[in-house]
Amino acid sequence: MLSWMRKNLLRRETRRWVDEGLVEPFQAERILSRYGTSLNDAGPSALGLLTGLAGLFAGLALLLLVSANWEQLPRLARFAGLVTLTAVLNGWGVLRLARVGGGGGLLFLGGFAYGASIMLTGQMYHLGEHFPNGLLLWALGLVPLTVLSTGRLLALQGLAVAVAWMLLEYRFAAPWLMPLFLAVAFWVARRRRVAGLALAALAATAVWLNLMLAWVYATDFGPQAQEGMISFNLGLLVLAGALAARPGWWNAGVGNWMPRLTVLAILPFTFVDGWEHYLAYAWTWLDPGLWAALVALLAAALLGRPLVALAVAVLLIAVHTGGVPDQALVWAVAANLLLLLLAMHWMRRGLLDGEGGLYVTGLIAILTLALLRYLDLIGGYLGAAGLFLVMAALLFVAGRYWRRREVDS
Amino acid sequence: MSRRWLIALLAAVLLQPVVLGGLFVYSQYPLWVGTEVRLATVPVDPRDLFRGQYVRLNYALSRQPLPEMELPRAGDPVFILLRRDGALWRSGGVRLREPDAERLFLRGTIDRVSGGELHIRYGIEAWFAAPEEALRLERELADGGVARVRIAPDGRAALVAVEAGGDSAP
Repeated sequence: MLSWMRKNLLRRETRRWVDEGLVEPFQAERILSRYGTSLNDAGPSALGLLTGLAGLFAGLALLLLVSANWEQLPRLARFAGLVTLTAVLNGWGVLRLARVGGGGGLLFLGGFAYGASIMLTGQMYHLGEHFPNGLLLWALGLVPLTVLSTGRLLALQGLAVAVAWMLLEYRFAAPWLMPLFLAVAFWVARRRRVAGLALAALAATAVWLNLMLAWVYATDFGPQAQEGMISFNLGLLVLAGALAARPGWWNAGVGNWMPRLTVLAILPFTFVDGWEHYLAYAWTWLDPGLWAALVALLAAALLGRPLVALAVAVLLIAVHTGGVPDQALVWAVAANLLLLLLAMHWMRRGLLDGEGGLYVTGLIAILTLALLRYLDLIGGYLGAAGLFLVMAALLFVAGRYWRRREVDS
Repeated sequence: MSRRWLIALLAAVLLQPVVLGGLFVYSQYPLWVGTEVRLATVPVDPRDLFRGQYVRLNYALSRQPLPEMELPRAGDPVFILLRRDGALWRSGGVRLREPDAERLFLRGTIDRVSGGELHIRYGIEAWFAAPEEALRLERELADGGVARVRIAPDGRAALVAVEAGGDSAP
């Protein structure tokens, strides 16, 4: 499935062919229908995005006005004004929604006015207590209106506020209410087919799962980040890959990010130090991170990535049961070669599919790898030289192999 | 568009003012029914990204010795019995269970336990003011001030004022 930007380019090009008489309109329609678009489809417009950003800026201005704590107006008058503004904006938004199916921008601004009212109440009564509760009230208050209006901007605002609450709250308590906000965001993303919102909700889910795992590792000093979380995130990465490979309106957003996420996930493992820490602290079979990773890998296998999921599961089990810090160099070399092979694969696919982003990701991954290994001298001067020679051989052989396949085809 | 959906939508709109009203009453409650006490405090001046400029107030009551035979944990509620000492009120003991209603006490939450002490938050650690006012307060009360606080029967406190005070260093 082509991205909306590529569809737009294809539509524009096809219209030009029709105008120049190269193809008949019915032929152009048949070509475009193969890619899920049509000559009459409207092109993308920046209006929605810019209006949303304008709403965001207006909302931030409102929050800063309240923060300014200006004394010219009595606080009660300011509070009454903000509550009235909230009611008017939301009422107007609902009216527009009921009449013409619009009003998303007004509800978005109404959400900001509601948040500003909570903020002003905290200010009026000098509520120093646990201010994440204010963010929680804000996010909770947006839930019913978001569900009923399915407003994209309102859903984004609710998710952003909920994520802020989650990040501030988790040090004091596990953020158990987060699934409610995630469910609302996913529901709106699905109903309105907004890939960006789905991607944001997926990212927030990954962060939430990590924070909950930190609470599984908690001690008397609160939640703890442990090495087992690395195992879990590898499992999540494979799960994200499985989701991205499935057809659907939402996977374009995830798919574009997968190679970059994979580079970020593997890069720390290309260092010997990283492996020494990981192998020293990953707790055998008892590690909750291992079990959480295996659950994520099982989900990935069920979603269509059984081989990758199995390979990563075997790797994690090997690390958690037989891994010792003395093996760090071997594991690091393997990670370097794995990243090189993946990067070559992305460059090749980028060239074949015309995916510039994929090609550049592969190229940058290889160059980054070269720079890092040149600087950190993995295995000393001779070891690093050996690794560079192996990588050079791999690149050369892959280049020759692909060239021969191109000639054959 | 169904009538039921429209009614639900209006109810969702009304929910927000109802939440705000609830927050208003919750915040006002100690001021309506509370007993006024004066606590020694020292202010410092940070900025809250959510609510603007405020003076952070440190109290002697914010650090209390560990109660004997108890295992307090961060996040647990804690109750400080108050005793009068001249014009000010000071700690008269720490409890992990709510004391009898006849005694005046402050309800707090344990922030952390370290160095043999409880670090406690009472919800009265922030005095919001315009930026210039916040800086003025910090300057004038650098050697210590007095926080006027009203405490509800359940121990919840609300700030009334922060002012200069003679022997008020916490």
